[in-house]
Amino acid sequence: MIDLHSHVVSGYDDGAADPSESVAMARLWAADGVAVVAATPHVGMWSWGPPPVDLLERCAHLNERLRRDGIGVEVVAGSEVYLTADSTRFLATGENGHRPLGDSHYVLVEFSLGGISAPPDEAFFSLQMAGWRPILAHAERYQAFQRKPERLGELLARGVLAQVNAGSFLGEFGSRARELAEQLVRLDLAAILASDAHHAVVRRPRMAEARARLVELAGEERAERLSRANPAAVLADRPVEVEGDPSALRGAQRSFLGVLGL
Amino acid sequence: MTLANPRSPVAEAYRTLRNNVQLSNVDNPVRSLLVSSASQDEGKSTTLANLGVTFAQAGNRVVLVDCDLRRPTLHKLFGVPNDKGLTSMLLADQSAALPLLDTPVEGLRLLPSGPPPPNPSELLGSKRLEAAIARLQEEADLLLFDSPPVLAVSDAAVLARRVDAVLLVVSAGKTKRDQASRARQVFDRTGARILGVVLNNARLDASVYSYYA
Repeated sequence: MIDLHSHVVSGYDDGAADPSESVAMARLWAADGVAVVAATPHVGMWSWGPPPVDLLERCAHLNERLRRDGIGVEVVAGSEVYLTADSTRFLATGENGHRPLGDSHYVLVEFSLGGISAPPDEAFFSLQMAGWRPILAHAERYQAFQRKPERLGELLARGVLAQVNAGSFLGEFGSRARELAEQLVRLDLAAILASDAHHAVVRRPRMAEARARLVELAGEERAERLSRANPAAVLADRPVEVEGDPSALRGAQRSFLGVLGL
Repeated sequence: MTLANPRSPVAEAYRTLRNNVQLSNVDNPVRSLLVSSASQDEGKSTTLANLGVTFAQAGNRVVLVDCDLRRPTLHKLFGVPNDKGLTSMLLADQSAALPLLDTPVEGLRLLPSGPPPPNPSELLGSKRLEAAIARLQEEADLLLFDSPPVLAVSDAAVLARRVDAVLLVVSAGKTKRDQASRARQVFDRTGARILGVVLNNARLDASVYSYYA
């Protein structure tokens, strides 16, 4: 498998505390059959910018250590871009740690989980016009989309790809995230399964468990696509498409409060 | 379909459609054609692609233009990326090279939608689109435009004013009679010339075609 979303590099964000935790996480990936992991630290979220750490250097050190310890996992550099009006500009220059996944044109993006709405379409359009291919990190975790899945459908219809978190299928992020993640997979609208692992104990990578759940939900072929084929295409910068119809994404029967928009 | 299985009855039907499009305008040939439908999933994009293939096979230079800026599908049909296309052509440097993509069919090229813009109707109604069509027309004997369903949004109606004619795709057993006639009314109001209606998903009477098989 290939895991395109993780906070495995230490000293950068709220992910791994130190290099030994990075190695402990890598052992879990190796045990799950994950061979390539993207280090995607949060960027753009804080106005003071990322810490003065060279991510490429960190990845190189970590890869060296993993080879020495005989752990068959390779780490590639990326970032998880918090979408702002500056994202397109920062990606063009590589400022503030903004970088695509590996050497591709795919960019992992996120926005406020608890916000009442998604960023305006212009934000994604601006990225796309600059030649980037946005992948929405943990698409199932946004409250705005849990309340109104059709809004997520509109975003996916614009060519934005949906990444779903392994932990969401295992109940780590609550029942609403689980339901939406399962819906995305069943409708064939999710493009990528990734761990979003932050640590070696809590929020650890659980790719094998989640993949098994995908097989139950949608069969071996789709599980393989989401956990290996599509992520491989991303790193190779090849086109990735999902087959599902985004307009099929609908909320459950609205409750009385839901009708009022609460 | 017309590419994978050119001798099938379906491919023959598309060739008949091509002839009808040509014959309906001997004096004033159609050089730009909008293919639309009343609502979603009536087979408009597939019809358009197949029609494009048959025209190209007859030696015409054809460009398929994906003007469905809300749910573009032509790039998926041909398995190509959608990073650049009509929207980049409209919004970027006008003198840049046209982002036309080759297809496996000689003479048939594709202009994907490009990234879907926040304001599709405005963009399709803009002066820039007019200029883009003129530029594309230099490259092609026939431009085939895909668009969103006409009853859902105003895009197709806006686009109809910019093309020579409109072809309405109707799905047998799916499109409601009043939807089809409302779609027709919308185009009539724009002053567009409706060339004809394609009945899709119709049952074929096997005996008619088996004679040639």
